[in-house]
Amino acid sequence: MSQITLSHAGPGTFRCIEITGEGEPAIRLKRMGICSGRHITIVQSGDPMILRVVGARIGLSRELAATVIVDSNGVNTDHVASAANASCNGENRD
Amino acid sequence: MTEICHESNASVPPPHAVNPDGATVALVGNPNTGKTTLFNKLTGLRAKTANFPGITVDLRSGRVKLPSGYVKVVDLPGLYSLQAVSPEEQVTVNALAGDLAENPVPDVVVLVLDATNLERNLVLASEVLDLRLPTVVALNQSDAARVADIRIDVSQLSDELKCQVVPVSARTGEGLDSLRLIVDETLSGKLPILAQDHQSCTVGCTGCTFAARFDWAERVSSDNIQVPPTQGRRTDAIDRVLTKPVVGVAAFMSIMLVVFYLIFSLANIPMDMVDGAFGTMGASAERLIPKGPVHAGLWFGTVFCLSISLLAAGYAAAGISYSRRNSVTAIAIAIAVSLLPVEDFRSLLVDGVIGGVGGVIIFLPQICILFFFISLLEDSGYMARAAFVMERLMQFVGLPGKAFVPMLSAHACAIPGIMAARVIENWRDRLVTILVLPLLTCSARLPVYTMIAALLFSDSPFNAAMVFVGAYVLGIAAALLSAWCLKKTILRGVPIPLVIELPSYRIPSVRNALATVIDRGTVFVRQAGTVILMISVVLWALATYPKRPDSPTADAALEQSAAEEEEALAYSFAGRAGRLVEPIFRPLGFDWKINVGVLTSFAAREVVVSTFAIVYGIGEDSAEHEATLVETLRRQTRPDGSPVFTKATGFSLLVFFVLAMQCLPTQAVTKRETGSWKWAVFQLVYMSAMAYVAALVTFQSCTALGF
Ligand SMILES: Nc1nc2c(ncn2[C@@H]2O[C@H](COP(=O)(O)OP(=O)(O)O)[C@@H](O)[C@H]2O)c(=O)[nH]1
Ligand SMILES: [Mg+2]
Repeated sequence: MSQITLSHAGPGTFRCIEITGEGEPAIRLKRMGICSGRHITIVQSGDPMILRVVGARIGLSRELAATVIVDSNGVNTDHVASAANASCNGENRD
Repeated sequence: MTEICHESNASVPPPHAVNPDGATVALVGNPNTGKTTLFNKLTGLRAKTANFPGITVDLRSGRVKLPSGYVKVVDLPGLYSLQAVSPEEQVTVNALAGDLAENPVPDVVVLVLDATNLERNLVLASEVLDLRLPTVVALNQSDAARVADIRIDVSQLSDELKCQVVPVSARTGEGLDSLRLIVDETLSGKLPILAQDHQSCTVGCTGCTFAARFDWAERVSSDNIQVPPTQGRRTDAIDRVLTKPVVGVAAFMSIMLVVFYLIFSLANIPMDMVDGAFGTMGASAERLIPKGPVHAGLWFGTVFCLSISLLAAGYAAAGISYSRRNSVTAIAIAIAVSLLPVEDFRSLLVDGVIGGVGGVIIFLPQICILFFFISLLEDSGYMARAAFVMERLMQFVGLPGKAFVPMLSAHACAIPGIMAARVIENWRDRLVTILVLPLLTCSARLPVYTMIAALLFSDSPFNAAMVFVGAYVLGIAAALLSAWCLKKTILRGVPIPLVIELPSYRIPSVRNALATVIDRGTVFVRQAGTVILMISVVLWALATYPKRPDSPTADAALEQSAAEEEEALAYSFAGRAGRLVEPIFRPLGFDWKINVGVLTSFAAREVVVSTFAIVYGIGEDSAEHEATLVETLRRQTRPDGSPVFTKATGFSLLVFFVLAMQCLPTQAVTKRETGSWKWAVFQLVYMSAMAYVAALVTFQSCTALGF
């Protein structure tokens, strides 16, 4: 399983592996759902970028995105819709 | 599906019963779930902002009638997790723990969840439910969920959460009766409090305490909710335009341009009305006060009663308690006022009280309109996008994108700007923003700029316009530079990179906007009004006393000539102080008369214009005739015969008024929002120092260049 930071990921949906930062910035990420195990879809890259995670859009600065480690093998695009929709139909749980 | 589940699961004794009368119900939930809307709907517009000692966060509370009595409902600030990262969130956490300024733990927690965004909301829900307080879930926005075809199995969800779940819509009011009923039953112990056992760290919770909660939230929502795949398409489409780097900034600027155009054009009518009303009040006060000799006892009694009632109103507005010292002060002031000679009393009432308060209330319409639009934009979900697109630009000075809207607002008036700075989560960033906001050009500076522009370039409209542009640019540059310096020095801290939820776009609610306007308007009148009342009386006294020994008698005082006004002011404390500080201000090119203007406009800048009119001997009433005033100013000479108002003096004066604090109501609001006078004093000191140095440099370099 290869890992990259979210700041280097292109468009697509990725599974979050861990947050390398600590303290308040890490809490601010995690409570928004940028947290190990979640699916993160990059909606618009740039700085700040827009993600879709746990059913909502999140604006995130690149600086913090660099502390988010994701699985570089994006999640199968068939699952993007369900991940984007808060995984409500329960299809894409690993 | 909208059936409410009343079946109980494993119930825990003892049932808890509280007399609903006087009980506290707290609304808790993520930001944007509709807590405030629900609060407004439940309380009507009768809520009041409660000020808790020791915290700078306003909590709104109001009485709500339940079937068995009235309860107090509190709208707590929204939060994403009980691990608070902003002062507001900390207030909510403290309130839930019973740590908030002697308030006990709420008797019932109404957890407001957004049915259109449920999975996310469940994370906070699990944390709050783990507190095991009596909790009722209000599944809000169920109207929007229905439209979006989101299906939620309420009774199953209720089983899962092990607490009552009531689908409601704060917008339409549906379900509110059931909510009131269930809260009532929970309070009176009719409903069991259920054993709660949530997910937190049950299995394999390594490192991230949130991971387990998110897993649980995902499972619960996938078991109970069906979301159509088209959910959020509309918001995505709008965002494709509004969040783009260049287009997004341009869109934001255009929106703000329209808002400001509306503020300044719509505010004109009510401002004229306020002006007229205070003018009429002053005139009728002038007429009502007898001109001839009066019965001393009768006069004393009347004035004493009048002053006491005015002070009582002031105390009530400012929330001052009736301790012995405060009561004695009030009585002493009232006696002193009643002992004033009739003509002094008249001038105190007309110039000091009515004029002073009117000068502040005139800004109320602008502030109300500003908050109305800010609230609409906030409600619609757009403000998060504004913060998002401005983030990059604001980072150059080390401030978050959210600081931009307060900075724009400060161009109408610093006070709403400071109040709007609350959206900035990080305390340090918020403080820096508050400290620099008064540097931005507010409407109160415009009369001063107009006077100086006319003084400098009455022959060239283009140059006069450039004076305005220059003053605005100087204010903005000074604010950004000061922010940058503060962030590099005394308020240093790790930068807080952006993480912001971009909520779905919604049609904003006018009702919410009106509630905000009433709320913020009241704060403004209380804070600014009481401070300005006090200060304008003090300034009035300084400009009136001591009187010249040969001052005209009571009858003649009414028709005081311009020359007499001038002499009286020169003889007063203010006039003397102007002379006293002459050596300090001479390097800035100010003579003692300008100093008097600077001193008397200490509480409110625009006063400088009328002071100049008096001190330069054309009479206060001529202040409105700009040409007369400017002509008179031009004729002034220094003892050596050279003109006072050279280009150098004009620029120096302009720079001074751009940068100097000169507004005590703002300081009162700074104190309120930062929780201590310390920052208000700091603001005054650094701005005055900066104004002095900049005016000094301006005058000296202009003189050196031969202007
Ligand atoms: N359709 C709909 N919109 C709502 C409802 N309740 C709140 N809103 C909207 O949701 C947004 C956020 O509401 P607000 O009360 O400010 O949320 P708060 O941050 O939790 O206080 C506003 O645009 C409201 O108009 C509801 O029941 N139905
Ligand atoms: Mg709210």
